[in-house]
Amino acid sequence: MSLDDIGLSIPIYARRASGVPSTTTQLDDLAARSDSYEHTIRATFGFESMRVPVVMSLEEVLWWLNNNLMASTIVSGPDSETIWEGFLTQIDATFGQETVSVGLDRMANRVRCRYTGGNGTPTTTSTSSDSASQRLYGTKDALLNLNTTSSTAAANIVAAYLARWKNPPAVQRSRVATGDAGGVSVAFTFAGWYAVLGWLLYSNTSTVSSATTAIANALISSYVGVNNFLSTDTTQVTASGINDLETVPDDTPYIQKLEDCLKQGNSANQRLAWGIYEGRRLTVKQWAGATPDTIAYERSLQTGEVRRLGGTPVSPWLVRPDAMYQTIELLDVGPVTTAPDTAARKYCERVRCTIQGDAIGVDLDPQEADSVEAQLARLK
Amino acid sequence: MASDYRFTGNGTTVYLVNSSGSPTAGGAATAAATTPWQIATQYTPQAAPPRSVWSGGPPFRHGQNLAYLGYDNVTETIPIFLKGSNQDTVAARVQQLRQTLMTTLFTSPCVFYAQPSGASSAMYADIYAAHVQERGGGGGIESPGEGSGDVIVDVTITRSPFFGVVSTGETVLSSASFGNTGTGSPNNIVAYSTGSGDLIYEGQPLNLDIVPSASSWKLMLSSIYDRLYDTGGAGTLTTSSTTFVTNPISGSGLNIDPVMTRKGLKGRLLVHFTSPSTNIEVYGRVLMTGSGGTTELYASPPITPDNVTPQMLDFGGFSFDAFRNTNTASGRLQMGFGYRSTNGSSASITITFVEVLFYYDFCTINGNGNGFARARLAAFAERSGLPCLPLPSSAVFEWDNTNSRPTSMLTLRGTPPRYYSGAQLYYAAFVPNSFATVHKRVTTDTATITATHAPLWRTFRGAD
Repeated sequence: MSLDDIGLSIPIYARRASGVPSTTTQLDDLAARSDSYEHTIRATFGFESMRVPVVMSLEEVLWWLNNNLMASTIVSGPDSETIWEGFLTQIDATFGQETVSVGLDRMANRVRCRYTGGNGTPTTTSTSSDSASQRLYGTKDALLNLNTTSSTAAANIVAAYLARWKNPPAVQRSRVATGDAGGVSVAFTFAGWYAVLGWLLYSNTSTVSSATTAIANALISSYVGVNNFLSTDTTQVTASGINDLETVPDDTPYIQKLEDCLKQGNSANQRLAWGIYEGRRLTVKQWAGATPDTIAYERSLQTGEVRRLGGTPVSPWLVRPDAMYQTIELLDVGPVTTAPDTAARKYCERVRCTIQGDAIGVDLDPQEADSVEAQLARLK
Repeated sequence: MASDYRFTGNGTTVYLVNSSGSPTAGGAATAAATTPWQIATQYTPQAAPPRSVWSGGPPFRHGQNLAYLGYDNVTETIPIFLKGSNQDTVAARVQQLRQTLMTTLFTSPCVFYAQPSGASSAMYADIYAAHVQERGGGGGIESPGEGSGDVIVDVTITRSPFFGVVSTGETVLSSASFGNTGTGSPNNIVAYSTGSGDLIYEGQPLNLDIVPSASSWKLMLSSIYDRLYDTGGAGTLTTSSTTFVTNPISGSGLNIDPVMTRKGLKGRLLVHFTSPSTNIEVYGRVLMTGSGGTTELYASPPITPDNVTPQMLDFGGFSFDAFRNTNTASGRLQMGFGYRSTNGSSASITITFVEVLFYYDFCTINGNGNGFARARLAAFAERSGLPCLPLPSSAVFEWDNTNSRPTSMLTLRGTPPRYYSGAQLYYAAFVPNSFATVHKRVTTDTATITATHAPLWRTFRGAD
């Protein structure tokens, strides 16, 4: 059964200049070419990772490997609902005994270096950029760190690093052996848009104290000024009610400052849930575990489906994290009212939807789930 | 009348039954009167096996529920007798058969034409791959390897799950007139004509030709059982609260009796309104109401409406299973809004009417910021000489009537409407708001829609 039979649609849209996402030009719809799908969504990330293996001819695979990293997708379901959004970050192709992987993970097209000069003074080189790579994928920073060296040596190392990593690197593995020659297969791995917040470095000397969510909104606006990947719509950001300094040390990734602010929680001493979701907008709100009695999802052991309270089924691909979940048959164990995680209910930190052959389902992970799929997406 | 079976690939047709009733020794296989082939009398097309996905089951309960259903390709072996006059003729005819069958990656799949004796119509399937093997001798019959001029050939084909008609589908809407609102004449739903095929209760693909009266930027299409239109909640909602408040937006007793015994139907909430302020955010609610209180069965994600008027928003699909499990034949719902101000200033929205679809399939077609004067949706192949079978994925495009060709691809989301017995087509169109990139729904707009569907059969067609 293909994904198309279920009604999933995985359109891939060509990237615009500088990697900016667009829905103007559709390259393909992977749903008709695959019978397997997996995505993850995390309560402190949003849409996290998505992976689709497809069957393609050799010529098609080569075209994808050479031209389409940073293409975007908006996965939709049989009722036209948005399931997942992100960008193509890696392609893994197998040609018999040859394997080729191309990805954005290690690419860097704007580089500088921190080093210690001969006089013991910490110094940073000027920034070196590759405009051709930036025109294709947007800007992705790398900061090198050296010990004591000369300015000339540091500049040379920056130039060499940029030359090596300005384009998405390809990793090839070859095996030449007797036996089954193998076939042709390719898998597309996508990352959620939150991941791009780790692409750029930032600094701010301001010592003003502002609301942590206001700082988060400002970070997004600043980021979009370099890479126009995200929406600056702040309507989904609920004010935290607590303040922090706007100061950001030199060469701090945007994602680090953002998370440093949001991890502080809110004025009710509750943690926050945040992420980039539909429309590439930042969502920030109090976590659902603050009201553990408010159940979003439940299931009965007699069925293989997730349901809302009252019995309305929820398709596996529509299940979202940051939600309280309970198992009906386990409710004999009376939960402590204020405890998010009990024998019968738990807080869902992360969900993973898988569609494979005759099995369609969703895994709901509790707090502090290890992000194996994030590693699969090679997010940083 | 003898049965008639043929394989047609890359312009060559191999006839598998001689019209005289007996194969012509060494004759040309490309004409019914001279073909040396004779399909085995025991051949019967195999029905496509269903691929089912089940939910629940032991040890927690007895039995399982059907969650999803699809059909796989059919692989079947057809024994065919070849009356060759000599071994060279046998080799040539078998080679011709192999060449005709294996055209999928060269031009298009080989077409399998099937019309059993006495059947009033032929049916057609695509053959994707084939394996042809001559049988060895034995039992007094000489082997083709030893020069026999008569041989039985086992042709194993992998074909499409279903048979269909050829070239043109069955018309179920013929230039039907649609309005763009839920009341009046015409309104926005028209019933399909009666269609044929095995899958009329599972959904058969539809091709649509849509001509809106005004250049549209977005369409909503749905195959529905019925549609509720309600103005019971019309009026203006106002709030300055930055946390959501709730209010009904329809009458309290929307009748959903038809869905209680039709498990295939889902619900969809569409709300038509005017004058949304720029600082309002809303979400849709589906409520079960009674003297014992209110149960929220569904809440949509929040939406910030574009500042256009008039407008309609889709608040998504929801299930009626909560009602169905109550073992009653009668159900009543109410629709509601959650709404808030995004900035603490007064925010308002004026509800005009509510539509609730009881639907099978729902999709949107988007012009990606460009208007289109005519749109076509292709869900099955409809080309001269080819079987009308489902396409690997549907395509929707703007159609240039002057030059009879597509001019741009449009964006399709959701499931394109399919033909179901007793169903209707629901239509909604949106036009740009004064050159802005947002859409409004003008209730006086109209459209003309033609729909053809692809009847599909598992084994035999019969009289349509």
